[in-house]
Amino acid sequence: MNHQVGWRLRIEHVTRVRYAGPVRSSFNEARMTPLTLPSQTTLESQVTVGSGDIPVWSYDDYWGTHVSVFEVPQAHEDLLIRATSTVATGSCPRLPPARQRPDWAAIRDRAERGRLLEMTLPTALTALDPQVCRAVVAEVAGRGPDEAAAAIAALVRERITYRPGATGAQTSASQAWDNGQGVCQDLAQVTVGLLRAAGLPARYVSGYLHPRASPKPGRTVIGPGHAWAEYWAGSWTPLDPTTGSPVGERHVVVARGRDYGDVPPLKGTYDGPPPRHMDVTVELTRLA
Amino acid sequence: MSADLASRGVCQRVRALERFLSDVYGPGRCFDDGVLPGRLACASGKFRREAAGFAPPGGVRVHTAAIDLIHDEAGALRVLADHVRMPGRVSPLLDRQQGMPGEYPSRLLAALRAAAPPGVAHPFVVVLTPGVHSPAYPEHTRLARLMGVDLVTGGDLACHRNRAYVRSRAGRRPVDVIYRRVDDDWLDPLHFRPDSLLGCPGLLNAARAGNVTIANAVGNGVADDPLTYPYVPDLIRYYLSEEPLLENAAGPGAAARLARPARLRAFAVNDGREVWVLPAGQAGE
Repeated sequence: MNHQVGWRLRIEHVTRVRYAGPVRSSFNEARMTPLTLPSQTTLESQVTVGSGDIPVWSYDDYWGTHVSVFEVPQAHEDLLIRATSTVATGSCPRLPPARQRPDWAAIRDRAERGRLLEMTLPTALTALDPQVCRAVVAEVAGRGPDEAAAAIAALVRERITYRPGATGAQTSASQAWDNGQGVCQDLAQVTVGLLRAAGLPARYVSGYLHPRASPKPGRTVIGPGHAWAEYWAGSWTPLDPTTGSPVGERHVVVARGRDYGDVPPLKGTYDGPPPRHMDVTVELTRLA
Repeated sequence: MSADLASRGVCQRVRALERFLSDVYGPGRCFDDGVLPGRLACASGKFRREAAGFAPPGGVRVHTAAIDLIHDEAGALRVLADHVRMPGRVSPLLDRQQGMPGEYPSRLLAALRAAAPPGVAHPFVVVLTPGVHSPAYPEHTRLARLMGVDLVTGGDLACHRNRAYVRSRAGRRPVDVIYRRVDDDWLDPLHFRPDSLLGCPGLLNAARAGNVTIANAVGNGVADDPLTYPYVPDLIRYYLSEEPLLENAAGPGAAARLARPARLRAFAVNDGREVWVLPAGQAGE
């Protein structure tokens, strides 16, 4: 086969939560296990909690995400979650020629029926002001679906400056648009909102990104969690508005949903004071 | 119209709604086949994706239902509304026979026992109430007493390793079936409203693991939604290959022209083998 053999990536995603006092009855779900897809294969993965003595149960949710469930009943002041995995990733598949892709009308028709529909409806986190949508849709008018999607991603990249700390997990696409600043989550949600406004089914993708385009195998680097978007035009097609680069070996998909709310890496409930500090590190190592 | 036809009609409706729910939370065939628009599920806040992908014991989601009926000009009963989330207002059924316990509590208890996770010989059944501040609290107490089961609040429940327990001074006891009178939104702060104190964190995952049955099931609201109602006759044809025995009342405007505008409520209990119906004529007139 003439196919480009992809990378093998080792990911270590460590989350440390420190609370302002003792907390009890903590129930949690982690979405940190990479998916196995045509474009990537999860070779091994594990989620451990604390020193590893806390049982972790798992299920696949409505979106197909692998969910790790655990609880910490006794009083504790910090929580450590370590998600490790090894994933084989592939290069970005080339887009099929435009004549093999459905046109706008065909996409709209397909989205009306079946489950693509839920990826066309706005959500609280992805909805944008109708005026903003109209202006963007007018700007990409006259292009084919793939061209329009690429133009939307470029436009979002231009509008929103990448600035860590400028926004939070609950920041909506509309707030990020008005701010003009945000992180990958914001760029992804704005892109999803605009793709939907333009008539393309679109979903939010949560995962990891290796920060370098051609890393030396064996060297470990710190890369943050990442988020990007996918739109449907005959097939689901990824788009990374934050880096502007193709989605390929560097990207590892963990979960896909309507917006961040469907795929949070960690969510939970407990009795006690709020977290004082939450520290997340993602270490990526290209193995081969 | 005979009481028998009405009973069979209500039973038919409940069976169709049951099939609809298992489809919506499973493959979603009805949407692919165009029986009703996909928008009804995916744009509805009552569609609980958290409850998708697992089947409750016996496949039963509608353990108890209430169907509101009304007479048309010709004297035929028509359906005004379906209730398959937490059908209430059962008090008339509880106090009708003076001194004699009515059939409803025993039928309901039998259905709840039948809904227990497989392998449980003597299921521990409880009624979960939001508490004394709920207007329906007196009804919850009476129902629990007539069934001879414990009445609990969210604070009495605790989950541990995907199992639900009732806490008491004597210790904790594993619970098998929860007849909940707490709405989906408040049932499990891990999945729904995080500020809820009326439910218990971990409950939905305990049900997903098959260790406890929540009755009625989470997410039934998509079946008794007013937007789903117009399609129920079609759902009966689609899932059961039967003609509806009870037609829908044409709509709110038509009600004024109806000869006897009294609204009747028929109650149904599904134990997984048969749907028992207490006909409306007996309950509401």
